[in-house]
Amino acid sequence: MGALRLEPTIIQRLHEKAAAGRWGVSVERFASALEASVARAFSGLTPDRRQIERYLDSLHLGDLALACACADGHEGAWEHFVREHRPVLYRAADAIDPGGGARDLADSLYGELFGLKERDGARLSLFRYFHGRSSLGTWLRAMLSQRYVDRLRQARRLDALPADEAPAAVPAPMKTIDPDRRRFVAAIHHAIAAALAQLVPRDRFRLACYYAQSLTLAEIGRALGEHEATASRHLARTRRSIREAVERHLKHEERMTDAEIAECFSSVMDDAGPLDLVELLGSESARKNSERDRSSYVADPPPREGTADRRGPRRREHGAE
Amino acid sequence: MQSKTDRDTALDEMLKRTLRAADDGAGVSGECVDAETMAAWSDRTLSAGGAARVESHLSQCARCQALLATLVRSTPAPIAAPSLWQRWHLRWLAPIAAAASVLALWFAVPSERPVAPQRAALEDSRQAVPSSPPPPPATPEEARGEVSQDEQRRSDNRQRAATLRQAPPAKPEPPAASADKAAPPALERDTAASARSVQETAAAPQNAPAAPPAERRELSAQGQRQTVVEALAPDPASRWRIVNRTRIERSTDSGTTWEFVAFPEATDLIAIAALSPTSAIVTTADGREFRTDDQGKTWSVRR
Repeated sequence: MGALRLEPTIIQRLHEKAAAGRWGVSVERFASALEASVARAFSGLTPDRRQIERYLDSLHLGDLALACACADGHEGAWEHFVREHRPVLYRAADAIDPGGGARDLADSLYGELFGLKERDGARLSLFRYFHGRSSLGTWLRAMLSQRYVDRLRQARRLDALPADEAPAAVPAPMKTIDPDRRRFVAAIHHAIAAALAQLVPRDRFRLACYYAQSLTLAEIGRALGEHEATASRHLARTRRSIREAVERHLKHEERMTDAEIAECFSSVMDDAGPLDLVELLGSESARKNSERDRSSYVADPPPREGTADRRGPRRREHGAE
Repeated sequence: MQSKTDRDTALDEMLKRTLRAADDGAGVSGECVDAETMAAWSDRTLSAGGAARVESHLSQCARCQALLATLVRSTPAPIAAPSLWQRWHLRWLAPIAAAASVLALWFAVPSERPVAPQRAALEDSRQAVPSSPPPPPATPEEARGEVSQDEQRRSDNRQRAATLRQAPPAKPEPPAASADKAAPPALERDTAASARSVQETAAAPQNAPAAPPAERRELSAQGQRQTVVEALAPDPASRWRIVNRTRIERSTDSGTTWEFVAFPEATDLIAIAALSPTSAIVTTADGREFRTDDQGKTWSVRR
């Protein structure tokens, strides 16, 4: 899409709708922000006038005007931002890491929003990446989350290996493993991978949220825009379909008898298998234990603090299955 | 033999390990979703196609899954929408409705009873007195005849409401009774205008039709208590009396029929002396004496 020029009447209307004059944002400045937003949303596409107008009307115009004013260093706008949005940023940091580990990220983000970096004598504020497609609050939390995740993943990569004499470095004594059991575990791993590959993206994403990211049903529902009971039902249905696919795979592809299939499932409980990388990370042991409770929550939910309201429907649901 | 639950438990374990392993590995698939797009997806402002692309990527990319999980965790829990009853304006509905009902009842119910039912009640009570002893007083003050003015009014209101409730709704009210209803507020609010009102109301009961027997029986069944102070004039056929310390009535046929006599003040009446069929002296609770010599049409304060 080439350089887009919006109609002056539309810009004027949106400028008034955003009350951008409150922060001293000129019509031209606001027009450039709107054009940048349209260019980003329709990158590689050629939208018609109606699509563009509909898109522009869906923007968080007030927040976009505030971001423009803050990026330009408007004092009143900054006062407003500090009063209304900075607490949101710090509350999000505390929610992400209650131990205060994300506070420094929030501070650094705040500094970049203010535009501590300069290029060619001009301040470079992070606000230039805000296009009004979400609320300013959500955008701030997303920026903070991104930095937190990247730092976490980087730290995980840089974790030092334990010293040679450390207990964790000492390999566990080799257990005598039944060769059949090893075959069973490999077969079921293969079957599960095949079943996961057959899932639609949303179901797979829901599974990942639950099993890998340890989100609660309410959080999954919030992320996917569905009720937590709906998320619970979808999870149960997906798991049932995976179980049936695995059983089918073992029976038809691996030519296993019913007894061997049962042995496969038993093997999983006894042997973590080669993909159990979490268990090898000592620092994750506490997390793993909590997640074992959480995992059994789907099958037969144990009492867990703060989830009493969610357990009822799940228990009934499994009873119905 | 394994149950489905056992297999589900095993499967849970496998899924956890498998998906977690993907998260711990590289887990980045293609071009990741940037924070601005993730925020827009989270606020559901992306187009359908854009949202589907994001979801497709999220289903494969562990890094973006982690980003979304962190974003969700940083989201303040939505405040549950208040139930209908919890909304502030509806929460006050019941008290406001109750207060409005009380006010409506207060204004709708006249402060003075209609003449006919009252007379019927009085007649009934008069007839009932010799045959049965009066009910015991509710309070020691009543027993001593020292019921306060407020208590007396409350008792009157209760009696009045009961009378209205028991009156047949379809039966048209006598015009004289309507005139009588309008008089007491004028007496309370505008003393100067009371004389005219009193004259209008004083004549009304004379033309009022007798209360129906059904009403009389109902009132009798209810057993309402009347406080009656009756005085005999030298002429035995002439009688004056105070009913419930608020109402003056006069009889010229030895108490067979009674007519309402208007009094210029809404005050507590404690004694009455009958001088003649046309003259009487009434003593109020605050010690004043009122005299009439024209059948109660006009009253003069003696002291």
